[in-house]
Amino acid sequence: MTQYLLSLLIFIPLAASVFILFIPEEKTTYFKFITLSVNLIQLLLAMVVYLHFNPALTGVSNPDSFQFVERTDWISLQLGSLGKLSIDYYVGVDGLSILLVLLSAIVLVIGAISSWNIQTKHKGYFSLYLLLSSTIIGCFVALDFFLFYLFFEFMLLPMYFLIGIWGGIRREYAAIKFFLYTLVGSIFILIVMIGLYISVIDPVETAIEMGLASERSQVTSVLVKQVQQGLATGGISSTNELVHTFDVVAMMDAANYIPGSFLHKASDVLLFGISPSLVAFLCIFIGFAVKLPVVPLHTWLPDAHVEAPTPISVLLAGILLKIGGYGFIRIAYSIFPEGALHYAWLVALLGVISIVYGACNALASHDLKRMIAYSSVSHMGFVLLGLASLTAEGISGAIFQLFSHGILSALLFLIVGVLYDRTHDKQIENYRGLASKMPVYTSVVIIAFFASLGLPGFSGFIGELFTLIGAFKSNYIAKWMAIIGMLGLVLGAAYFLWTLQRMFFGKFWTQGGESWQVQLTDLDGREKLMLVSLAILGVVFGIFPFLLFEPMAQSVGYFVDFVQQAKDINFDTQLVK
Amino acid sequence: MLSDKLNQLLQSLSGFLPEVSLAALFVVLIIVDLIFYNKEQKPTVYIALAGLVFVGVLTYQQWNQLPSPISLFLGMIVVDKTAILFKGIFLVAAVLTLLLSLHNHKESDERSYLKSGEYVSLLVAITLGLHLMAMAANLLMIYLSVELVSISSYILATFKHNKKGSEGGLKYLLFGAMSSGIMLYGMSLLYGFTGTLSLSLQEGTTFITELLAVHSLPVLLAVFLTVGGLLFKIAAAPFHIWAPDVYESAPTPVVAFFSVAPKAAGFAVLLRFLLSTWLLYPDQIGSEHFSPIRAILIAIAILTLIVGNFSALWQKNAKRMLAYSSIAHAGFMLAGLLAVNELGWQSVLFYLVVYLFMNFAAFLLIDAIYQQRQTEEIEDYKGLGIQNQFLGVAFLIVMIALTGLPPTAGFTAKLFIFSALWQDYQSTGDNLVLLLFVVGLFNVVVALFYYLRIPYYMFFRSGKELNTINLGMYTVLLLVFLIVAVFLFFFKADWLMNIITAASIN
Repeated sequence: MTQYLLSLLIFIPLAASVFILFIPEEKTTYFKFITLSVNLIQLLLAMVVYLHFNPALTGVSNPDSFQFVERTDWISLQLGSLGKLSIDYYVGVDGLSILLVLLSAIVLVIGAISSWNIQTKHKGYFSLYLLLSSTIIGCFVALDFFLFYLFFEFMLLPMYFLIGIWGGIRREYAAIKFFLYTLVGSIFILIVMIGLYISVIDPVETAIEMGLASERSQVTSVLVKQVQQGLATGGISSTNELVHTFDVVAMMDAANYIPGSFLHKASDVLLFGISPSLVAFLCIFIGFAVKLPVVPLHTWLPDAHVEAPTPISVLLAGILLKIGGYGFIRIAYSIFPEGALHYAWLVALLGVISIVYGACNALASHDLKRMIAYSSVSHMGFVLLGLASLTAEGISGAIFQLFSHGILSALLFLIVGVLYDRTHDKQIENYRGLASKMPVYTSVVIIAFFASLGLPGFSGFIGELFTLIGAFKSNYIAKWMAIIGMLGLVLGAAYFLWTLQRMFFGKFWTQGGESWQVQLTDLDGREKLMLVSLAILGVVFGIFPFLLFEPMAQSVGYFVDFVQQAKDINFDTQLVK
Repeated sequence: MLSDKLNQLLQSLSGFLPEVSLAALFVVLIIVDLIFYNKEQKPTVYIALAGLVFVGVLTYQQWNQLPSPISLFLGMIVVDKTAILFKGIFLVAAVLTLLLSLHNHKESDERSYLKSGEYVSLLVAITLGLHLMAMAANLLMIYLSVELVSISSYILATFKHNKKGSEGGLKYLLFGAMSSGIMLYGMSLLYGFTGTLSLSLQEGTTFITELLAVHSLPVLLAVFLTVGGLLFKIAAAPFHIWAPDVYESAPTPVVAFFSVAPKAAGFAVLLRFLLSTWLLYPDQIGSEHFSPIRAILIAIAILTLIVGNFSALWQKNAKRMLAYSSIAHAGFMLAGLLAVNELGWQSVLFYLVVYLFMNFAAFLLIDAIYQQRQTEEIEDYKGLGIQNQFLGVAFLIVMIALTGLPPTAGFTAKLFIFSALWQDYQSTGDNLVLLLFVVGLFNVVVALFYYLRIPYYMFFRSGKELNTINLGMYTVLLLVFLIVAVFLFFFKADWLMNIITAASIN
């Protein structure tokens, strides 16, 4: 029964997005209800995946311990003298991705509810929204690089239009900036993708091609070893029998690299004076760093957020940024662990810079949405710091932070949306004393702000605490980095509390005078539903962090060991045994 | 002796059926045009369509029945599966051109020339010339076929019968005549060095071995003069200056044809001239004698990419923009060719097929809008995407495909090209190849910028509420067909690639 769950998660919204195109434009409520119900079905399916998930299985580099796996041949062709190429429709989840699938489903539902007051061109909006819902999940479950790249790129287009058509005043500028930045990033990823598939074979398919077996299920681990041995010693005489693959899991096994190829772990070629696999790590890093975003590649983010309509900001901060973090873990770190070790200091340094720079910018922002956008940059810095530490605490903290920030930033952007809907103004200094006028709203804001600044008892605290513990324990990064990271916590408290004080406390006053006074009503039912449920989630995961730690613990432990093993890779000697 | 040769020529005819039929079709069209002289409705277009389809069937049979490459007419032409594949591309392009010419929203006089007998028969003549180019294995044959194509093209380019059209046609003629002359000069030098005009390797490797005996500098000069003429055909920088003017002034269906078919033929000849003779394979001829050829061609490819893409950025006219973009595409294909491995030129073939569909779709859209709004300026596309969503989405898909983003075949084509380059860099370690690889990839971002301007105006800007655009069933069906192909070659890239692989087993 659980066999096709992941495909359903991807294809139901896709089908709905096409279906919507055939409904006449006037039926706006249809669009809303179809979208919401599709997203609810997605959430339901994601819950089923989460509940049926077996936390004991590790995944990461072990193809047999992925769960809900679906694998079918998609494209297979002869690549000149290189051999065959096989692209698979290959999806599955492990402890590293399961939480992000769940997060996406939650945020997508919230986004759908928040899309209720989209005013124009409903058909286009909801069709694109559903398309986005499909590709986001696709990105988190794809285990074939080609498939991943397809979803990753295909996310840009709906996003571009959602910002560019339904956004604020400078929407066109923001949309094109977003598109160009991310495309440049993905070109870096594409470079490595090409290099990887030319260097890597799928031992299973190769065994079939060599006539050692007739289908996947017959290929035993002994046979795989035999093929890998043959590859290393040159025992496979004809390149025609090699089956190149985009399989991310196969790319993690050093024994699958063709000797003499650039990205082989023992390649003696130097590119720009360093080993090609380190260059590849840096390329992938840049690609996902644009997405996360990491200072100094973050400049698209404040613009995109400020101009995007509220639901799209929610998706952008709540899910799309997480794809950057996920990409680091699944692709950059897992495929090039030697790069992860070698550049741990760089990753941590960029993390620390992001934390402090983002926080300082947030402190200086006059626009509430811009402040929250910069706080995202700062919070994503913790993810980098946790990743760079390469300890179980740090990595779990990073994933936890991804999840928790997904919930909290969605909440924060909705909070801005509430204000913007009423007055079309989001300048911090134009409001004062909102607490007296909008008490329910204010209490939600207080919860959201305290959760985000890392007060114990909320989810934000757990994520940041664990990344910092990891950073202090780590052998790869300097202690001063962790200490500066802690400074980020103080700055975070500063800008959140200062904003709270300026906008919500004191005597009620607004820039807009009488007319705003009428417009500034407290939350309506729909807003309460979204805000309160997210706030509850923020508290629940803060008090019961094991809900998130438990499914990922095994995978993270395995992942840390796996990356650490790369220490033994001496760049001069062959690893093949 | 003489009778032997005559016999051989006669036997060759059987392997030459598609071309004989094309020649016959050409004659029939002229006669029909004479018979229906002064008549309002002429059946020429339909006869041409039927004829081309018939030739297509013959070509398909040739594909199925060909066990191994055969040499015809005393080595003048070689029929191999690659050549047949190219012929298929030309035929599809010619058929699509006729279909584009047929789509006429209003029965206006302005476009009546597109149904005239001259127009149709010239198109058939070009197709014949392109067929010969794809099969030519002899320098003289190459020259003759290139001229057949060129001369017909000059006339077709001026078919709009207005001042702008004449200007474009004249530019084309002047540049074309010049480059033909240069090419002929190069060929005569090559003939002087080698004593043979034949490129084919079946009769021993005379051509290349003779060349190896000469000092490399004059050989390089001769090769470059020859290649220059071909680079003119594919509109590679710095031989591209004619393209924008001709594209802007010639009738749109003709431009669509020009942007694909002669370019493909140019690549067919380049393949034959550079690869089949081993000119670019230092390993095969055991000498680094000719390695500067590749280095300079790589420089040309890089230049073409940069000139094409960056010039396109400033264009305001959609057809002119596509002209520059087609220069950039030539750069990508040249890059694939220069990867000098099997995957490289397979990817060029793949790219050509995909490009055929993408480009025809783009020109069809431009033409459809032109017929209703009388404009090709990108700014005038304001708000069209919102008024007519099908039109907007179709344009978006085509532009995304031309940029090379998934999920369109434009992405797959570029992926193969860059894979071939990577493979080559891996085996040679040549830094120029790396440069080409990186420049090519980042040009995709530049390309995105100008291709997206069309959807940008269509969706983000609101236009004046003019009479709404009504595409008509015929255009919609044709568009859907082209776009489905663009998607299909992405999702099932192996179908096309396996055909190409089959074509490359010689």
